[in-house]
Amino acid sequence: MEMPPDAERILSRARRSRVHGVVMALVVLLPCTFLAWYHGLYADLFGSFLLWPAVTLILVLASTFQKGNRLILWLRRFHVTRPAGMQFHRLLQGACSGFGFPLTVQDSTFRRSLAMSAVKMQILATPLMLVLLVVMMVMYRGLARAFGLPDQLSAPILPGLGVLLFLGVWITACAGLGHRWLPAARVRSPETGRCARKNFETNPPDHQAKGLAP
Amino acid sequence: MRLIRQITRRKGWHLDTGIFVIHCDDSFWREIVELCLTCASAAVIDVTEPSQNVIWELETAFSLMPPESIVLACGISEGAAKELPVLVRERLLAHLLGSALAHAQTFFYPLQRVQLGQHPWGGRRDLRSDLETQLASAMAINMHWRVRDEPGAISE
Repeated sequence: MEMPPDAERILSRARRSRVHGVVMALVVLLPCTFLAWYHGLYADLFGSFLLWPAVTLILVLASTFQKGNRLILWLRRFHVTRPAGMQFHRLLQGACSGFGFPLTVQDSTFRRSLAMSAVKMQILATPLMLVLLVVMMVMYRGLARAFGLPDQLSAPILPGLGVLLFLGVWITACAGLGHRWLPAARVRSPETGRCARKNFETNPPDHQAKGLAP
Repeated sequence: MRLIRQITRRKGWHLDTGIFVIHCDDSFWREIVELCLTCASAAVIDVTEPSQNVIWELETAFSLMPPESIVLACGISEGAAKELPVLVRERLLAHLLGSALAHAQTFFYPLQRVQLGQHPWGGRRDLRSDLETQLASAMAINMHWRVRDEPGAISE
């Protein structure tokens, strides 16, 4: 039977994992950047949407190499709001990078966090962008027909309208949906241990969230 | 338990950034915490405000894990010394064995962001590095302990 690795070995393995993550991200990022630059995708509204899968892939790579399989349980109780307080969860997240899988337990007093949802929405970025693109096109065509605007994609109103629409939908989705189906796993009963929902949370608002028990 | 097994045995690519949160009903959060403590390689328990529930968590953690694999995190307010505040220490000692507490690792962090960079705190990177070292040593001790107590249970 192998002896368990000591702390130094764990740390060196974590560092190696981080380096691998950076190298892999570069392997994806550099060709994507070159292709985008070569084909002028940045200048094109449709082309820029093609970049989102690459961004998602880089996020997946970063996540894969940053998370270890060792569970690190974080137990805390933050009922007090501290303005400009230290964000311990960010510290823990960074410290676990490469070897640990930080998790925490929260009871039903925890409701929602816009910051948490916003980061989680990265997962949905690509499909959301594509849906928004279609919505934007339909809306633009409707507006163009209603107000007699030039019905062409290069119309100056389109980028501004697109940005406004995107921000509106993004914030609404974060606020409305984020807390419902983006947070982690929900255990309904201890006997079955059945998980009703399984997603992941990035930024628990440590100084705003309710603690484990009232 | 199945969820925890899925986490520890997962392979391949995944997109799970940040801290994983297990939501549970108020009625059985203690059972979930117990289950997680049983499977965890290290536990970070914030003792800045040692409430009754935190004391229960500490007692449970000390009964299920070696004290060296428990990191007691404590937020220190501006101007205070980098040590467990007297009130916190007294509260902990009233419920926990002094020897167990002495073996647990302690990690201090500034309660306010403005304290970073001021004496006796370093920068964010220093704090992260300290916590990383403590976690790695807590995990190593936990793995030794598991191998000793449950042969073949966990090996790297």
